Amino acid sequence: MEETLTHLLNGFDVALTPYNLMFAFAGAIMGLIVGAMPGIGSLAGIALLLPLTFKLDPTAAIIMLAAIYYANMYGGSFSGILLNIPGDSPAVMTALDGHRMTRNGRAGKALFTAILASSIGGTIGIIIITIMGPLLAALGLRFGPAEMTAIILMAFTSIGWLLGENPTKGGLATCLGLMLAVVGVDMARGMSRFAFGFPELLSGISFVPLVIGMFGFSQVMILMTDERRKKRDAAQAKDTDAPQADAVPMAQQKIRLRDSLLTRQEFFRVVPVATKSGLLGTIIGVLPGAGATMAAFLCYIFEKRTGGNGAAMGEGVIEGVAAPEAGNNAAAAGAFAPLLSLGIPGGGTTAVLLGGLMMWGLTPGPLLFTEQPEFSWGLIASMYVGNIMCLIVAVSIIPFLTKILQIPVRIIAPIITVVCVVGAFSVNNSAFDIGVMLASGVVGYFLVQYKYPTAPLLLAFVLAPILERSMRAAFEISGGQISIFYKSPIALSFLLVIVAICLVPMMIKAVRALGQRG
Amino acid sequence: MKRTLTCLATLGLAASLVSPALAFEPDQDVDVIVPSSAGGGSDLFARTLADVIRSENLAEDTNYVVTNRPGGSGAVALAYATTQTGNNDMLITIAIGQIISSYALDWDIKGADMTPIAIMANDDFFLCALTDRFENAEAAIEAAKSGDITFGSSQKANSDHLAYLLLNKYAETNFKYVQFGGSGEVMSALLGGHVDVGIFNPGEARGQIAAGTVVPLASFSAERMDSPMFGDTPTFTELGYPDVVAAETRVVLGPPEMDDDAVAYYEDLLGKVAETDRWQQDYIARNNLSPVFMDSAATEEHLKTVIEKRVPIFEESGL
Repeated sequence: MEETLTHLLNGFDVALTPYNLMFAFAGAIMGLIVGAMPGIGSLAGIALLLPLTFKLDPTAAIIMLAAIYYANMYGGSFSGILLNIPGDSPAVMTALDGHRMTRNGRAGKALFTAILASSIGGTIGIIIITIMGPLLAALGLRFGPAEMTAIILMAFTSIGWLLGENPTKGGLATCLGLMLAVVGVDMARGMSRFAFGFPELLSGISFVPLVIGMFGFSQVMILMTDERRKKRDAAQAKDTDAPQADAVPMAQQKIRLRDSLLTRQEFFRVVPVATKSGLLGTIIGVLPGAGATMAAFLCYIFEKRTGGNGAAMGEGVIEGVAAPEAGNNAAAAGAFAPLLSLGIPGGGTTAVLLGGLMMWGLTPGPLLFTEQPEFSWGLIASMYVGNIMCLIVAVSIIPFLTKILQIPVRIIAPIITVVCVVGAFSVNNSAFDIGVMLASGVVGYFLVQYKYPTAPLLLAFVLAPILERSMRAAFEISGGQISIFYKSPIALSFLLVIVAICLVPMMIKAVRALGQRG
Repeated sequence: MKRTLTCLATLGLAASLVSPALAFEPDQDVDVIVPSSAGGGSDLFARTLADVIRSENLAEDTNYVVTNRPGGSGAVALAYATTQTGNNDMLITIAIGQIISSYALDWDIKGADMTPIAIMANDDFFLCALTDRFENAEAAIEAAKSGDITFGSSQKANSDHLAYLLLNKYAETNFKYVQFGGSGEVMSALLGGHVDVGIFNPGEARGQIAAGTVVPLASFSAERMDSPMFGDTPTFTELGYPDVVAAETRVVLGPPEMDDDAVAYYEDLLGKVAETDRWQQDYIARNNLSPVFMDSAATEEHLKTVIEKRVPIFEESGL
């Protein structure tokens, strides 16, 4: 512990030099921008900037790229909250409650909550990896394919809590998500599934165009139809002078920074939620093959199930913004534990950073901490500083961001459409993805009109490929024996939790029924 | 003597007159298509290539613009290239594994439909295990005859999968193939004891080998790697299995029906790139690659060998 503190203090010596501070700041700004632009995630942002850093000192370079990675988690929530277009896949869940809050006239508070929770979650993640990074990374190694299968199955069970008022509709949406997820080459047998001769479909439907369509483009259609309905209603109401149904039309929100600050009570509602999600998110971030998107989903569900205000989540409450935002930032920090202590990337973005380490002449691996303490601890210390920078920069731009809401529908709708098209295209530079975006936009529109929840669809879409891959790998290891799942204590305990999740509500019901009869 | 000199001078003059009139010069920016997303091995290859051409001023006014066209593990880029048939201002930087996939997975567009231009680097494969798991490669091969030894790999129908099939066939082993989502996941599974051996490029295993947790048992290359860390590792050829040879080769292709003059131009340009210090240091050495350079004819020959001699093993295995 004492040793860790000494190392960390030395790390701050490195991180706080004006040169490194400048790069952390530059990274934070770029990350916020890249995150806020739909379609360009941290992966593309970092990959494109990587070649520019080869001439830099490696510590400054990783400080900047890491800042892009976690600042991206802040920026992703902005367009999700304001326009219902998540900037990046981890921000999908934030849009659920965040955009509701915007429609209820509380955009400023939603943004502030997202930023505050991001910073709390991120800081918790960094504290955890500072204290027990190598330990957590070693723990993550115990999660092989069998254990990952069990944990994903548990996540699937938890979709039940997201289904909403009508479980049939929720179940159908989940199945639609599963169906979309099986498109593409089946990597266990090499067969192409439902690709219909399109080479673009061989690697599956891309998540980002799907999300942009389902949230963003469907939003444009909803805005347009709402506008027509409002005009019609207004024409009818002209004689009677009846008050408008919509309490605060989005366009009339005037948001100053002061109105965006949370009250004392709200602040104390956000902190515990963000802390819990921060812990959970860090652990998910450390697991091999999981990532910030999965962390955001699971933290949201966990909060909905266990939180005091869980029932109201989905209708625009700050807990619904805080949980996923804290979770995805914590996962971004958690992903650094296996990268720094073992040299193993947990996901796409950290894989690119790993490539960067090699290009800067470092050897990522178990020796990195001992051979390059300045580099490793400088990076960790810079993440504390960078998170505070992100917090300050992000809060100060809230008033500018919310100006977007004052743009009238007839102007903003075409702008959003352009953003959707460009965002969908820029993921893979593929015109095919624009088609995917438009199609999922139309589907999303009807899902919303007929009150089918979209969250279970997207969660199933994210989880299904990881489940398929893990389960197949587990069976490949065991030669088809199912015993691999109950011989591993970790997998077995997750499976028992699943049984409990399914049975406990039924048992409670049965006991109550018995009690009433007796 | 004087005469000879005059003769030589005339020849030299003639040569210098002829050489600038090389029949082809790109008349616009050259698109360098990367068939995978930004950040991968092919992307790094393309971006370093473009960077060396620019910084060493090898192609005066021409810009080399890198564009990523990911999807279908290369199928999207190949399909796009056929829409550019005859385009002389486009290059594709592809990994040989993706060309192999086009046959093993029977895509509509295959690797041989393109114009071969050059092969510029080899990323070797090593069979690795935890330090105390096997005494040496022979011990691992012997143990794998039982059928209980698992083999972690990251890409189906690709070059590392080909390496696995060649090993099982020619060393008469019975390794069990386990498919993961990426080499990082394979390394996690190896360190966590979920698989017995894994296949890695030097860059992917270097950190663990330096720390002593993982050892390279044998190399899938024809010759030993010239490096302090991997130089002591025997090749499967040395161990008596000369058919167990596979590597991730970095290939440059042109779209179908590229003109011969254009091929000659790019061949020459890429040859110059491969000779620069920057290429050798910043790309080959830093990424633990093995330097090779094959011109268009040699590349065509190499691809033909791989496609005709090695790829049919996928069909035999029933993929």
